[in-house]
Amino acid sequence: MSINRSQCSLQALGTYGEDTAIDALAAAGYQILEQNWQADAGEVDVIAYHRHHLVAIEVKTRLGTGFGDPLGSVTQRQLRRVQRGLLDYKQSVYPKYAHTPIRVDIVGVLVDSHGDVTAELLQDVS
Amino acid sequence: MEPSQKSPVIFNVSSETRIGRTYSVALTGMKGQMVTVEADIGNALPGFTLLGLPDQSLQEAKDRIRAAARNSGLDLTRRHLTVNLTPASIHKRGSVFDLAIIMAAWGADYVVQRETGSVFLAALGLDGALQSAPGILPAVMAAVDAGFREIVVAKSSEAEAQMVPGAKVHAYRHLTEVAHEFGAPVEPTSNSYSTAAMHPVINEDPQEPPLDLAEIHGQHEARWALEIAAAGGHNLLLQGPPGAGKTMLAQRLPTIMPPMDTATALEQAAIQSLSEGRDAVSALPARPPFEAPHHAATVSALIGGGSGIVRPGAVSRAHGGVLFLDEAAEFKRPVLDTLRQPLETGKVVLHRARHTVEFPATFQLVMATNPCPCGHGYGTGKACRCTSLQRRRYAAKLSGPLLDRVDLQVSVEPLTSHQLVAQRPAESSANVAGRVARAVARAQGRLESYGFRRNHQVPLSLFTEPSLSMTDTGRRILEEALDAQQISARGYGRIMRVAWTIADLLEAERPTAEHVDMALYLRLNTSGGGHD
Repeated sequence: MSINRSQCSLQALGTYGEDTAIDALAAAGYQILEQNWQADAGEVDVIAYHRHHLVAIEVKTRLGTGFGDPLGSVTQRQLRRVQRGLLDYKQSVYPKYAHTPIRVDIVGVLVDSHGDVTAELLQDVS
Repeated sequence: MEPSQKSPVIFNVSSETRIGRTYSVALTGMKGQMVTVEADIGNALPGFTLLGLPDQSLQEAKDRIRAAARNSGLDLTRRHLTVNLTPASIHKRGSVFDLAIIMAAWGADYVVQRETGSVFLAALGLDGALQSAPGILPAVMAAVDAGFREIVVAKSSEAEAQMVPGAKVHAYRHLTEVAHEFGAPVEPTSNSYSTAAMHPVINEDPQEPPLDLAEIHGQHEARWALEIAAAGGHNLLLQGPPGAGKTMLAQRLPTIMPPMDTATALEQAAIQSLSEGRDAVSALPARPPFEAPHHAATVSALIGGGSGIVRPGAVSRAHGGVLFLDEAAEFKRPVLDTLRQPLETGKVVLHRARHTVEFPATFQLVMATNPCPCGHGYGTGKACRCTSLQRRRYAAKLSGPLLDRVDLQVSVEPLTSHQLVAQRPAESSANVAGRVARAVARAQGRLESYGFRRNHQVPLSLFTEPSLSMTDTGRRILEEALDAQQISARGYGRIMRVAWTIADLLEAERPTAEHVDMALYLRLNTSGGGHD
């Protein structure tokens, strides 16, 4: 898993970021349930189970901070879309997770100019 | 360029936080109110919420603060920052809260320690330079009154803040210096070039040629009235033809007045700090101010006003000194009549929909006016070309109630060649000021036990005190004048005060018939003696 900064499409970067995030989340104790789950409301990047919560995770990947911090560029609207998507998921697997509280986390993946990758997690955003 | 192959460790940014709390001051007019700035870092989407009735310039603080933090090498939290300014009900304006907000935000993130307890009063530049804001002096006064001694300000407002007794002022040039002082892991870098560019030179007072009473020849009666006005703080009307020297006389009144006491000087400096903008005040004003608004002045120019921030007017800028209205009869009558309230109470109260603003306005009113529109209606009035109607209209510009508050009304006669070319210079300001100072000291010694300093402050009821009563002959003259309706009840009290000042100047034990006569004459000689 690697990425060449000079020649990569935005889509490839996004996929790379999501893969990185999933590896990191799994290492941090998240039980990954779905990736790129397509709901009516929109796509949810990652759905996971973590500490008795059903968690929808929005992954944001950036090459450098020239256009701002990855965590800071998630909008309220995206957050609502992810939340609705998670509810869709919950309904689709009913009655599993029927009584599990839900949560939304965001992960910011930053690929800096040296190719070093850092991932940051912000839990329970509302 | 191959990145490392191992998957990165995820870093949870939801680290431990606390409530950051700092103090600042919100100003309403000259009255400062302590404001607590609280900062909380929460789990919402990254952002910055500012609560507590901030105005537009304070809303903009968000962007200023983010930039200033980044440029001083200590980023603000990347999570959601909520800043609350309490009490929430009062309006907060201006950029003076910048430093308090950023310190609270850093406090919430454990970047700085012990930030609670100090009062932060400075605006921020985008590069992190601390800048002064208007109204630092009244803000520091309010903080010290509320029991806060540690004050952090910009270097450029250090002198202003240090004027307040009891304040422990810490002045810095750059945000990093403040952060370092409060335990942040950052090296203080004084961005000296930018601060130097912003405050190029401390502009020295434009040296006006010193005014001196010695330049005024003749005019013995007007000079005497000026001396009485200086000694007792009485109001003065100078009436005379153009070119007689009314303005010259009035301008020299501050040169013979006693210096302001510290409390008044501090209030005066606070008003300057509010009205002149940044870096105007660097030392306590030593000399009483002399404020001469143009006769086209509006009500709000004179007594203060403005939408949003209420600014002090000419009467407050003349606090502790002289308000000189040249060509007083040319002022609009409603404008002049607004002076009645501050003349009586020594302060201006401005009412707004949301709040009431009070400015001190203890000033000495000096008015200069021509006797009639053409200006030549003095003496026998032979040179005057005005009709009697014109003259009456002109005289009516100065309303009775306003003139009733003017204790000394003097005619300034045109000079004769004999007086003008006199070789011997007239008495200098220094000499007169010495006499005035002695008279003020006498009055102060007598009035101290009653809680007053100057003769013009004494209420009428106090004149029945044995130590403040005048001789029987003096009182009889006054009672006769009152019964003949030459003077009003207010005038009765005012003449007594002037008589006391005259007695002080002449070093008499108490006012005699002679002194009362003189006071009565100085009050009545223009209103009584028309030439028609």
